[in-house]
Amino acid sequence: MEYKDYYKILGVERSASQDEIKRAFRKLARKYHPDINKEAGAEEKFKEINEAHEVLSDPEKRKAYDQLGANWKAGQEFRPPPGWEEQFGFGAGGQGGAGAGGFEFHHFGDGAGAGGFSDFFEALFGGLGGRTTGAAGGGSGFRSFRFHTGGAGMGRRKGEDVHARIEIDLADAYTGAQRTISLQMPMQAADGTVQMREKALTVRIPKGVREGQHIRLKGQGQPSIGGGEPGDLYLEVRFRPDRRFRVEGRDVHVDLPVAPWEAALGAKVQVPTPAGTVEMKIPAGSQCGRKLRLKGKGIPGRQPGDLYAVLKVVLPPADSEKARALYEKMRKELAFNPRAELGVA
Amino acid sequence: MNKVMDRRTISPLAGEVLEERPVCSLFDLAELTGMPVDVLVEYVQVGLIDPVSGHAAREWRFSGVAVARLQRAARLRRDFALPPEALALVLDLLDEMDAMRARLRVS
Repeated sequence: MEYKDYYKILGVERSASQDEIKRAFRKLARKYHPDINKEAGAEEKFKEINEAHEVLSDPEKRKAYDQLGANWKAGQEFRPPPGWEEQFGFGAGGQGGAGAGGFEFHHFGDGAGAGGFSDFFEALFGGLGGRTTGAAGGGSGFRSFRFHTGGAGMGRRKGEDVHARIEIDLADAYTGAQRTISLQMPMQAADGTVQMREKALTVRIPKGVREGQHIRLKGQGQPSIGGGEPGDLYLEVRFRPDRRFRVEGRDVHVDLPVAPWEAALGAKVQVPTPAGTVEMKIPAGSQCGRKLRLKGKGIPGRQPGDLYAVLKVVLPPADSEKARALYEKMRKELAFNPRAELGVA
Repeated sequence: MNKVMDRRTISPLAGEVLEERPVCSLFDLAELTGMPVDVLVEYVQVGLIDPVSGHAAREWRFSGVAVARLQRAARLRRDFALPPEALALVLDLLDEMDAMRARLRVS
């Protein structure tokens, strides 16, 4: 596995105070927080920042990490030193309690899974969570976040909710679909130890789901320790970028290339939709940029969205004798100034 | 490390779309989000979430949109230690940003 330079990730000196570390974390988090920065790379970056903060903000973990020495370089091949576990009491026992918990975001592509912390982190601190606290996902308390409800909930606390993102095709929202995802989840073994396990789930993507909405899977979050109900799994829906379609809420937009004569004289043309091809009439006298609405052909639902075809007039190339002659004829015979509105000839 | 594979796949799970779920009471909301009722009341008072109907707290009804908003609020609160008013402001600005980004994509 690769060595991680947590100080470098947060951009602080090895001598940085706890306040400096906190400040550096907050500043980077403002930029890369997955609730703020929706770009794909941001999430990975936030995970790194989070992990660095997890270690450096905890005096015990920081001390252990510092013991590795200052000579390691980021990305260098790394193995935990012998005796690590005995010395620090956490370590690679495979009892990782810190894991895919709380509000950490995972990102799912097609059936691809994503873990929580890096292998480097798990190798060094993987055993910590399972030992120090009894709570599911324990460890830090940083990622496993839940208000304590008190009263009846005490002692039988519900397991942690798990949040993840799932990327689907726009067509899936039109028809519904199935996706298999895998999650790293701490599970309690028969002997009482908590182990990270990969849990595969096949999930139905409901027809009509929109970007930014959440699919809630009751009871599929982390198990409760102490006999309470398991938490829930929330999947935030994102659409995979599409070459042809752009989505705004329920409505879908598509650029529709048309020939000059189709726009000028009107025509019946085919329009692609995420659910297949439909026919559409282009009214005579249409200009480039005209938006034609296909009612109800957007994302389906109780109030289905609309599909907008945005006309793009495409010129046939003047690359033959015949084509040139036709353009020449138009130039001579049509008194047309496309710049009349600008007041120039 | 030693992540044990567990490939017990269960038949497709049908979830509910949070934003489309039927309205719920203040207590249901507390149950769903794991947040204490008094925190939720404070969030309503500062306008971080709005009930879709009801005047008195026990008549309040919330849509699933409130749940998603509260979860986002919880993450932002955890990572930035924001007080309720600032949280509400940040959430509004983020919503506006999301809407503008979506509009940018289609224009």
